[in-house]
Amino acid sequence: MPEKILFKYIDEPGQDTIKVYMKNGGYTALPKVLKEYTPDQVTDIVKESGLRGRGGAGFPAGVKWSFVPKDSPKPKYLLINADESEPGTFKDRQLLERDPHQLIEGSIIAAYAVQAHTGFIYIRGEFGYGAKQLLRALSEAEEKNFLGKNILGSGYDLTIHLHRGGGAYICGEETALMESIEGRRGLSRVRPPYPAIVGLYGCPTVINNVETLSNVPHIINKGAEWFASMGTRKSTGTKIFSLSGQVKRPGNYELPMGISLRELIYEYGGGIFEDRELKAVIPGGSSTPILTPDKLDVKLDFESVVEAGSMLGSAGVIVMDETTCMVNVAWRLTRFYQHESCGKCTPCREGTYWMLKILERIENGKGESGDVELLLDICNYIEGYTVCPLGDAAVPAVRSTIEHFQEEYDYHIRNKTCMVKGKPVFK
Amino acid sequence: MDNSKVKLTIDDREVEVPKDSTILEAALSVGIDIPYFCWHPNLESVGACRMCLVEVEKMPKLVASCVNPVAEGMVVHTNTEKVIKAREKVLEFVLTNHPLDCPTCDKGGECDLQDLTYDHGPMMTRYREDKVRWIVDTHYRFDDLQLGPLIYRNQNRCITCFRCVRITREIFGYSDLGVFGRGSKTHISAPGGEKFLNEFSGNTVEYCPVGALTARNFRYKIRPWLCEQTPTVCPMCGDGCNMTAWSHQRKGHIRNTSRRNDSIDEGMLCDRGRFGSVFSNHPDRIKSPMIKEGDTFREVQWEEALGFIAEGIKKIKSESGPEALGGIASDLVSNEEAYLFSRLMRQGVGTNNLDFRGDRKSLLGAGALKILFEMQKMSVPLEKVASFDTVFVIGTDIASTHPIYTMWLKRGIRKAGLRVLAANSRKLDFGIYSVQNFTYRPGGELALLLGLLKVIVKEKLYSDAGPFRGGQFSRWANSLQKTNYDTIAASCGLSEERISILARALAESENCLFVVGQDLWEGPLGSSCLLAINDLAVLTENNGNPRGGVNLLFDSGNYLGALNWGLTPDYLPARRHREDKVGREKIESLWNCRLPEAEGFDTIKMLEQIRKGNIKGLYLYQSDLLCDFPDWEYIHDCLSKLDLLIVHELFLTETAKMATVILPATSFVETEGTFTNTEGRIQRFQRGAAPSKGVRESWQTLSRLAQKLGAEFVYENPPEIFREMVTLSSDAAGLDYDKLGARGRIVALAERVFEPALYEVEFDSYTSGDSDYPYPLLTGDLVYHLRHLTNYNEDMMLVAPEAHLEISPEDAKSLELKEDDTVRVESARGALEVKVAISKKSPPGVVFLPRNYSDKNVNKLRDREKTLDYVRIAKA
Ligand SMILES: Cc1cc2nc3c(=O)[nH]c(=O)nc-3n(C[C@H](O)[C@H](O)[C@H](O)COP(=O)(O)O)c2cc1C
Ligand code: SF4
Ligand code: SF4
Ligand code: FES
Repeated sequence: MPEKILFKYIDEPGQDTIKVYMKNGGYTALPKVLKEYTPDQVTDIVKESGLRGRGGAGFPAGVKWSFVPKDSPKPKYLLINADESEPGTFKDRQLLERDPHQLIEGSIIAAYAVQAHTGFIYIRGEFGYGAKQLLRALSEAEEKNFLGKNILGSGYDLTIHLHRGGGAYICGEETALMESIEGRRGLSRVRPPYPAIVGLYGCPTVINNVETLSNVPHIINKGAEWFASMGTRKSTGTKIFSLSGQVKRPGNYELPMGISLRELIYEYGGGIFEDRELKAVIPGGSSTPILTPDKLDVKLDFESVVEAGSMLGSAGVIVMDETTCMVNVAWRLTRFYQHESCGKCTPCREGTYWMLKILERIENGKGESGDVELLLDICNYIEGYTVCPLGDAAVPAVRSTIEHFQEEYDYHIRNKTCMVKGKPVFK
Repeated sequence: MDNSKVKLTIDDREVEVPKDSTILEAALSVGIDIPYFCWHPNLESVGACRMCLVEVEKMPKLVASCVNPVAEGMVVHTNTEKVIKAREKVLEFVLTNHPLDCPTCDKGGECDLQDLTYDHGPMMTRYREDKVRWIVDTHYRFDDLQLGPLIYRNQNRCITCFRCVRITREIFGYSDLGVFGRGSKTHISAPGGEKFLNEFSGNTVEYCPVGALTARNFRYKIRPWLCEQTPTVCPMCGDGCNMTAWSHQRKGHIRNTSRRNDSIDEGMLCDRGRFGSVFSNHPDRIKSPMIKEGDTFREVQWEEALGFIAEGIKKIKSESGPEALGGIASDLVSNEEAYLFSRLMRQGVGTNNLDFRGDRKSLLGAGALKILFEMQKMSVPLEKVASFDTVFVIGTDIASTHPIYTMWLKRGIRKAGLRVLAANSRKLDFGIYSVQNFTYRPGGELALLLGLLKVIVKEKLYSDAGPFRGGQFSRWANSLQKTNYDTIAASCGLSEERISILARALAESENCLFVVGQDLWEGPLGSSCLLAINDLAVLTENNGNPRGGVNLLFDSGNYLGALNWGLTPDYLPARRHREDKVGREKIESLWNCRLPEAEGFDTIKMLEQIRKGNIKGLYLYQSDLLCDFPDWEYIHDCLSKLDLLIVHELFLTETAKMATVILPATSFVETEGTFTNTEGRIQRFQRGAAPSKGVRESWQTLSRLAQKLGAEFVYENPPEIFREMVTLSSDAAGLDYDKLGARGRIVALAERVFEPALYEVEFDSYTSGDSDYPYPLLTGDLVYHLRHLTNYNEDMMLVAPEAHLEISPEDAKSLELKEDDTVRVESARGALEVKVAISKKSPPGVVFLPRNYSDKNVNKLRDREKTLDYVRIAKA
């Protein structure tokens, strides 16, 4: 077993309490930061570690922090994105339910680095237990003066609030998340300006994913070099892969960046359910294009997955076997995006609805020739034409299934029935 | 402010624009057309519709030009293959779920979606799926949902540009319209169970780019292209917004839309103006002259009526002299008509008994008016209002009396951190925008003003470098000592501490504008209040030069015009005082007559003279005295005493029913001329709809009557009157009727510059109550009701069909009253049964009734001899 960072104590009973967390070495990074480092030094360490955002885009965390203007008279904010709602992704939930203090400690350090005195954890509305856990952990941390005024005598103040989400996928998108905290509909904002300059309440804001921040205490304790020594050169550290679908052992696996897809599925996941044939894999959450079995040896790091024609995204790996109908996959995922489109911009709102209706027809044996070309054309005018990336995210499911499995669409249209026997598995 | 510019290239043209422009603004500024739906010049950009995509060199994707700022050296293409294709696709998307019901849609002919599809759309759609359809249970026609009394929504047609919601929230500060649902279920609605109604609701209809929002007054009535459009000016309040009047040959004046004037309205109208000023086509218009015979009126020919009037006037004149006649006009008539009426009364009849103010218990005399004219020199134009750091609004519920003025204040709050401080006896409410309220007790306005002056002097909050130091100043400062804080606090109900907070805020602001409501300067303590406001502005050096200012608000469409053009006894046209020899001679030579020497009476004195039997004939020109005058019993008695009552009116009002002779008048859409708004801006309105058959334009009637009285004035048309009257003032002399321009012209009619002076002000207040009648009764105009005019407008009567007694939640609780309960409101004078409206605007212990409801006339409770009326309330 390779070294685990985030999940090292995840199964230890009581790790969610401050007592056990501290016994296992928790809250040692924070005092060290407050005593030994200036905010800029913290940012530099994180930069050197190569830590990249785990929320989907993979943007280097330290670099993001350094965008916050130092001379701004406005208050600065740290937002902790715990809205995890990308289909196929369920890692943040485990992190915050089982080891909330790891996240809180990382958040405090990040807030210190950008000199924010207020932070918000935006937690997905459905995570009732997680919210309870975090609330308890926050008050424990406060009791020990890891939060609050004059933290550990350093003169640095920080309050972290918990905000339960509005129940929409779009609220995980950083600017919609800010709108939501401010009390409005979760609609994405136009960028520029970027959050680091004009974010929450119009103030400089840093937003990071739960997993991203959970890594921070370990980087402080063991050093940037140690972190960078794991994974690949450009994608450092470990990554939690949420493995789901038709595998024998689904679940969260923390593995070094760059592990191969084959290893993940066959070694850690135990292979395909009932030993069927693998048909396709979504490597990075529902917003990423599918990969076909010929790509099984792709290394799971940001660069390699892109080279293979997809994206690492949030590392929600969804495995589909031979019994899966690809038209059905496209339909099901499009239904998700159509439902979650915030409705603000035309191409996403209308385009996803249109695609859904066409896919529904094809699925129901009412497809017509020309439908596939039309779907591809709609994809072309959603991707790149929308306000926020949700629109872009709706495209891969349709486009990549057509690209790799057009014969299934054609079969559906011609024969008014599915090419795959034994479906549906997704429902 | 950063005024720097950047250069960029759009479609091979070099363009130089301010640094913070968007690409779209840059393109539009040089006439390059980029199609758009969701963008609007008054709103923050949201980039929702994606119609405005353009190609920018070195950018990988097309960019939404409405949100992307320009940059130095940027190269933009608005017409490449890629852009053209993108527009086509966006339109195809927009139309997928659009019902394409253009043949039955009210927006047909003026719809952005039609126009842009025509220009940029695909020739056909590839969409063959079922459309999302919003079926409304309570549907009227075509799935229309009534969002509020005036506005309907057809969600099927909505293209979700959010303009309506953004206008409502950003510009006007209200949250009564919102976006609900998401994805294909996104829709516009009023929040849970409430109705969409605010004083600006009509703007959403105009700026909805499609037919998703329609207005009650125009939907399914007529095709827009069958109407004629005429530039006009709204007469419904002193702001003077510009409108386009739409009229149809048969149906007459049927609706208004905005006509953007960036100095006043920025393309917005309030509902009172947009909807409420449509009354000219009402069936109850007077269509023929009439003479009273017994209890009824007989329709007569014009010449007969005018002859009858001329004879009547001559008879009174020969028996009792010209002083036995008087004339009262309204403050809604045009400058030209005001001038003409002044000329008719002074020259034709030969009297200075002349006024246009019919709704006050006390009036400013010539002396106070002189101060008012002087103080107007401190005024600032509307478009500058948003740039102050502090605005002190006193004595008006400005959101009701001056909606568009309030829009500028809200803009200041939103964009520039303007602080609005308000002192009034009812609370001001700007929706989501904040106002700091200092609510004084009715009658305590002067006490508060003196308190403010005292604090500023005591705490030395004025600049030592100012011009008013030395002996004269200390005498003035000493005069303030006569009133102590206890008296002040007792009168206005605000503690010394509260007054100090306000005083400091005013004195310490960078740049403070005083906005003074008409109820304050025309109220019982009006002239003293004027002096105190003057002192405040002068002492804090906010007298407009170079900073600060004082805006005296004029509530009605042409109050200032009536004042300027000769409708008070002492001021002749162009503010020439009766005793100013030069001015007098100028007028006499222009009119070729001798002006009457005798002092004239104002409305209140005229009524006294009528009561005494000294005035026997009265000419009411569009003045509904019986409805307006704050003592019904008294005015009724006065009017019944007259031998000759001439009523020149639009409608058969209660006043008209008492007339000896009635002449039909023409409304502002049936004639042409100019109005003067609260800034002193002269603006032209044009003739839109023809008056009904047989009705003469009022200026013709006035001229013809003058001729019959032997005054030879002959005018061809209103412009000729304008050309004549402006020669009377050196300030207005250069004005060219045809060149007033799209923004009109501010004319001060002032010959000298403002010379700051401090005046000693005597303390006064009128707050004492009476245990039988514990509630002070305030009155005023509602947004949705103005004079008798809105009685003839369906929209306004739908929103505000009757007078409601507004009381505070606290009083409602202690009196155990619920919304819409009927109560009996009783004063020593009389009683009314009205419904209750619980309003947070009312402070505890103070009640409010709107004016000018002819059936529930608040003036039946009022007594002209009491400065403040008191009432008691009981559940009916
Ligand atoms: C539609 C949409 C949904 C998203 N949902 C999430 C989410 O649930 N959790 C998350 O961490 N990031 C989510 N993101 C990414 C965030 O916008 C943002 O990039 C991220 O929180 C930044 O954190 P990181 O740099 O630590 O990854 C989403 C993005 C989009 C476009
Ligand atoms: S892309 Fe979709 S989710 Fe994003 S702003 Fe547009 S409609 Fe909303
Ligand atoms: S109702 Fe009209 S203005 Fe409002 S969002 Fe729809 S199309 Fe836009
Ligand atoms: S006008 Fe630019 S996106 Fe709507």
